[in-house]
Amino acid sequence: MEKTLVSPECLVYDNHPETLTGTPFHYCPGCGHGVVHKVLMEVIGELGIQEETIGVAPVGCSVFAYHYMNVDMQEAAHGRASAVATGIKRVRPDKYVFSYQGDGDLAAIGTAETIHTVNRGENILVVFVNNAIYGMTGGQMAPTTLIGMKTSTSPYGRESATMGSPLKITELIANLPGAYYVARHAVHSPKYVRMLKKALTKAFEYQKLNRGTCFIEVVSNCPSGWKLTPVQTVGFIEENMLPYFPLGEIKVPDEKTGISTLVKNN
Amino acid sequence: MVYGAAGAGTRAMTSSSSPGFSLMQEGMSYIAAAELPCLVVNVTRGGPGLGTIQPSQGDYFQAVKGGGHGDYKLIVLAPASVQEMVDSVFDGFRLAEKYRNPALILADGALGQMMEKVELPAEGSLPHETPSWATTGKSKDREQNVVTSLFIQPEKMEGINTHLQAKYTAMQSEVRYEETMVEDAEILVVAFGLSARICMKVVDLAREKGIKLGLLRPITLFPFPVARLFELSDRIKKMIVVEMNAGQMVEDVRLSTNGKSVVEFYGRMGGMIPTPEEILHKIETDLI
Ligand SMILES: Cc1ncc(C[n+]2csc(CCOP(=O)(O)OP(=O)(O)O)c2C)c(N)n1
Ligand code: SF4
Ligand SMILES: [Mg+2]
Repeated sequence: MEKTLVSPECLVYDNHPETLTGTPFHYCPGCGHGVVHKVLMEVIGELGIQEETIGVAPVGCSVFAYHYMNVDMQEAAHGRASAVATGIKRVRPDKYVFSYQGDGDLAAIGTAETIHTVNRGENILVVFVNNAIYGMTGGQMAPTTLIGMKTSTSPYGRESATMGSPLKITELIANLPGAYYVARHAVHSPKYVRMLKKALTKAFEYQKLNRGTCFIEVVSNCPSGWKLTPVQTVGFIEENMLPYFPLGEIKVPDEKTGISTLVKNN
Repeated sequence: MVYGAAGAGTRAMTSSSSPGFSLMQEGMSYIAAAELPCLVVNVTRGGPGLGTIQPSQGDYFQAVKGGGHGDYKLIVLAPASVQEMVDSVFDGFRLAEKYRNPALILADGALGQMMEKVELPAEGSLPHETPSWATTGKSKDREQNVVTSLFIQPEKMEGINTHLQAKYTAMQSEVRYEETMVEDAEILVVAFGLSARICMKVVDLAREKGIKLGLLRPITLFPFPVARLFELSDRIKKMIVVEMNAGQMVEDVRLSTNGKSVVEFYGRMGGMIPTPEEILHKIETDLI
């Protein structure tokens, strides 16, 4: 453990769940990935399912998720995480299986895998971290990049005439019969982090029921790619991301019947 | 999906035909790099492009030279009968698990649709144990298991490559081939799969005419019978490679014999199957 990275006077937090390895995150300061990692692993710890959980890491900034998440994991090819998760779940149906994917991974190169995984109703959890950009490769435009947003491949801002509109893939897959529980959350304030935690807990509990895919989008940030300070990204999320990617549950199962329906206004 | 299932420690396989196998090349490279045992079947059709659905051997290069990115090898088996198709499923998994490497059965559209009597192995399935490296859930008594092909430091990545290359060298001991009338042969035909089956007939026809023709049929295309061909080229100075492609395995035969023999080629492409008579005609006009 490279504890020396943080000098004692700078240490504000030294308590990680057993489900995290303790390896310091390599993420840029203020990046949402670290928060999502921590909440996800806290939930796995609190549910006591660390030994029964198998994760799939994506290609993107979180490619090394398995350095931090202390569960058995497989590293997938770019966009294929949900297909790899399918393979694992099909042969280990008694385990909890999740994939962790970025927007470039899940909604660009992996669109086919994403749609078909949910359409088959694979009994896995997909954690989709949407920061509206290709963070890892230097801030290129993603399918989820907002109109007007400047990226290295849309230097004058995205415009829909030639670049299409930001893809709401979560709403898209929610319409598929295989989708059991679909929600969109965020991590830019403690309130939202707590809500995400509840949703992730629910999703793992639903996986036990074997009724279809749970899909949780997390609206996140990329200070480096957005060329904003971490604090500025909070404002950007509130003012620009959330109006287009509204938070809340999108598809929920009925407690009694177990049948999932789309939540109105979505 | 095969990556996930194999990584979770079970036996996994998939099958396809040429264009579908082209699509799988990304996965083959990752599976080879992550050292996952699995079996893939390519029942080859005529290409390039969408091509034709007729039988071909045009995917030899893709099978034995890679196909996906990076330095990797598949174990490649080339059956020539339906019985061998069955046997190669068992051999494929046995070798894949022994070397933690993907195995490929390279067949063609004719073999794939052929009906012949087969005997299934009396002992049934091969025994299988969940490997210790598999992602089965991290129990308290062990460290996490990670299946990955990402080794970001070049020193580490070179180490992985060195390890893979050593494994491919060790696989040379698994080389398999079949020889027909090679002892007194003055001309040697080298062919695999369906072409080899046709060439059996060519050997008969040639022998009837007094031509001392023999046949070497590689059963494993990787590892390739390099040493045997090198040895034979001391004695047999004329060889011909017959393939249902534009000339792919012929390059490996030329490399193996290293200029010691004349190596001619006869091939049909695009789903056409050569007849024994046209092959014999080629031998009679070009090698005698
Ligand atoms: C097949 C393939 N194409 C391209 C790349 C290069 N690449 C690495 S990460 C990435 C985009 C990642 O973006 P995203 O999924 O949004 O993750 P983030 O880094 O933003 O979390 C790309 C294109 C690759 N590794 N493989
Ligand atoms: S580039 Fe963006 S997504 Fe990647 S670690 Fe940095 S802030 Fe996070
Ligand atoms: Mg992204």
